[in-house]
Amino acid sequence: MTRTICAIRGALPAVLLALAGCPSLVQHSTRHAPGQVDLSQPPAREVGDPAAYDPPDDPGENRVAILPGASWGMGAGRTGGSAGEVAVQLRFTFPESRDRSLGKDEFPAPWAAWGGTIGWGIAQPPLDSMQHPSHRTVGGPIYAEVNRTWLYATVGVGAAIYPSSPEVGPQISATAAIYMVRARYLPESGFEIFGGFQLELPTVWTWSR
Amino acid sequence: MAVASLATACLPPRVLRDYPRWRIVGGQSFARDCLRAEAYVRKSGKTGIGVTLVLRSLHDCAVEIRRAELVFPDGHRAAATADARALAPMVGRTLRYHWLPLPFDNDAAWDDGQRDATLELELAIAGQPVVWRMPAQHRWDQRWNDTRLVRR
Repeated sequence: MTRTICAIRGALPAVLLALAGCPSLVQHSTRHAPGQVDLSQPPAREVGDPAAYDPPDDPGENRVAILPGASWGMGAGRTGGSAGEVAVQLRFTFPESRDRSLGKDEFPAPWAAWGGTIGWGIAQPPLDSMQHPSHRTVGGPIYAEVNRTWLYATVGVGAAIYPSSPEVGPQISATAAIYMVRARYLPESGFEIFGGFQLELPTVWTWSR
Repeated sequence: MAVASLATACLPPRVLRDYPRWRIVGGQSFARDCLRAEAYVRKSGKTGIGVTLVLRSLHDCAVEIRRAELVFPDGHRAAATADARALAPMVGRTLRYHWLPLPFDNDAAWDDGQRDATLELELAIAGQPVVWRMPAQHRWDQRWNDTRLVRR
């Protein structure tokens, strides 16, 4: 287990860095493509040069990012003992710093963005099955969060639901780059908390303001 | 300085967005009676285009711009205001650069795929009306500018 964790810790930063420099993850729409001009003023310097042209200013751009991701965390799960949680999720963000358009190969890590996440804890395998043979793998909850993102850090607040019970409770999460902490409280089974790793594969769409 | 130069050379180029631009593609020069004129699109953006008219008079020349419009194939017209069309008298041999803004929703025109239009100027030279037509195209020749190689 330790070796696996070390392997993940070694590989994920490299993957993250590779993704950050991958231009194909940014899709630039041609909508509203013209730039910003001030027609109230003539060109600053007019000498009748046929080739002269005042290039427009950057109007900035709108952006939306969709980040499918997966996470693996260890901590206290629904069964009461130590457990892991494997989850998949889909996060959307709407970055706010839009005054400058991105360069061709520039990947936008947002200074600040609101967003939302929906996710599913696929499974919570027990990590203490040697000591507690009765602990079995159980399914995790479905969750939804509102997120606030700053660069590579995100905090989220929302709710988790175990559809089979059904049992609903609040959930909070925090991520920084590939590191993740997620906690929730369910009225019947109590607190759950997991810390671990999360990897997201971002795709960003941009279009001119 | 050498270290700085080397570091700059090793950095990847900064590639920035370029923008679509209206260009006059024909009939750019005009000559009639006492007037010689040329037209150049100097600004092109979301809110319209700005054209510089280079006007030369051969001698005293009474010139009016009665109408200045960018006419789209669907019949839509973007017109210059009366203030923008106002010309002071051209006395003797005069060279004048006249700024003629044509405001319109160019974002909508671009999004609608309108890439061709005609710049029409209805002039009156010594009281005689004449229409100067210039086909224009909205082009996006390059999507990105490499700022290491191309400095504007």
